[in-house]
Amino acid sequence: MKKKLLVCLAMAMCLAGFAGCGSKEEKKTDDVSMDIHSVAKEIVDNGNFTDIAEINKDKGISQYSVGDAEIADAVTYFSSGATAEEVVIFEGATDADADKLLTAAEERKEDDYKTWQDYKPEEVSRVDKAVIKKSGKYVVFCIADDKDAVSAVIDKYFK
Amino acid sequence: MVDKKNPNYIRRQRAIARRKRQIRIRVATVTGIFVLFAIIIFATKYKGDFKRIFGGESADKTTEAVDNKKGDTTSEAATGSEDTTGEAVTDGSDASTEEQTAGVDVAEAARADSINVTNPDLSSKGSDWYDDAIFEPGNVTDDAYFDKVALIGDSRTEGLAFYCDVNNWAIMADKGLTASKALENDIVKLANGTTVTPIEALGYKEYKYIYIGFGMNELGWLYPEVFIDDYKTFIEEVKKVQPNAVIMVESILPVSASKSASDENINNSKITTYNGMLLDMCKEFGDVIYLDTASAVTVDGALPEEASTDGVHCDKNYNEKILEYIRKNTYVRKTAQ
Repeated sequence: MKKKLLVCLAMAMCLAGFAGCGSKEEKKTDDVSMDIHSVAKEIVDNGNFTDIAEINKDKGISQYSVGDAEIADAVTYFSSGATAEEVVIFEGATDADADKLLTAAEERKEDDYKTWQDYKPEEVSRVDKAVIKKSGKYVVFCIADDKDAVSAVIDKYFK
Repeated sequence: MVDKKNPNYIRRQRAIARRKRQIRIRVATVTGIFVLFAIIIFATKYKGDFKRIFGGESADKTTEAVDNKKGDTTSEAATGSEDTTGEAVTDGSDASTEEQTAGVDVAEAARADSINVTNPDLSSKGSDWYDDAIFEPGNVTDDAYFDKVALIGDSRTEGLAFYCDVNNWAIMADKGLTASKALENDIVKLANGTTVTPIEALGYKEYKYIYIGFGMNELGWLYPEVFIDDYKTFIEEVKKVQPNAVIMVESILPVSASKSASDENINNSKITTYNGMLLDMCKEFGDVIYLDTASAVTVDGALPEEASTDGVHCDKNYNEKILEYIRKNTYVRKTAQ
């Protein structure tokens, strides 16, 4: 009887222990928190852009192969078609979603490279300077002339 | 030897059994409480995953929007097409009554598409061409109109889509797209992630108004007649998929004077020539409209310098002017196809 009692309690304790284990994907996202709209504005104001304007975020998101990534919010700035300039910041629902968005951003750069190589080859050098950064649930994709200025703004908010 | 019939023995055994039962109950209770807490903690930590797996989002992405790989989302797409243009002219012994009835039918049909054809404001009209035996001009009264609109074209169409505050039209546009490439290139991204040609994308939903804008990327061609042949082929394919749609061919927008002066191909003289050819093409078709959207952004024969950073692609402000022209100058069929 005592053995049975001990076995039951041990099983219950183990179960509680497993439940207490955190998923390795559930990293703490509390470390980075930012207002993506004001950060994007700051990037646009400091990145030496020549042809860019904010567009409806759903239109902007449609340019990316985000798959099933859950997007809590996004801000998108695109060119009129004259240049490859672009600023997009995603806020994923979780870190795992942000990982998918990071992949989407990297694919976007590859797509842009092919597009501009055919359409306007002089823009390819700008695409080469694309800044793609992720921290926590945030992903930033930016094509600008002043890559260093853009990186400096992003690094202020990313830890 | 134990006397199992001894009352004391029996009493003792019963007491032991009772005690065992009580212990079992206590163990079960404690275990149950542990398990319950474990479930609560487990569910709290992984609720996001449960939500993704079991609920919330629609599993049928084919019923969601059609996305352009380089453009915008549209309203819902469905397989097959629906014929919603079933307006018929009523019979009557009196011809004028018949005409009046037909007129009312057209007006009613137009209203259903958020178009006003009763004394529309035509003051902004440029050099549009349409067969007035087939079409009647009107003004868009509500942006619900764009639920039934598809825009097909090159980077300037893409810019129009990006910069205008209309989110419910279907955009099938790409940088560098020509009329011939539009037949072959998979540039329209569907909600299920696949990409298709504009003609294939048109097959997913009925569109009542289709705007087509090519020409900028063909200005440098040695034989402009090939451009027109390609355009005709494209329109024929559009008609096969969308036989009831009002098709409007947009005039090629001008470029800035400085761009025009510096480029031997992309200049306003060539654009004028090409637009003349597009007009002739529309007249040859008879049931295709030439929509002079270029007139909305042309000042002294050119795109104003302020309108664009490269002399070709309009900024937000000038794209809004083009949109306004589209709103003010649409057309409805006088009778059903």
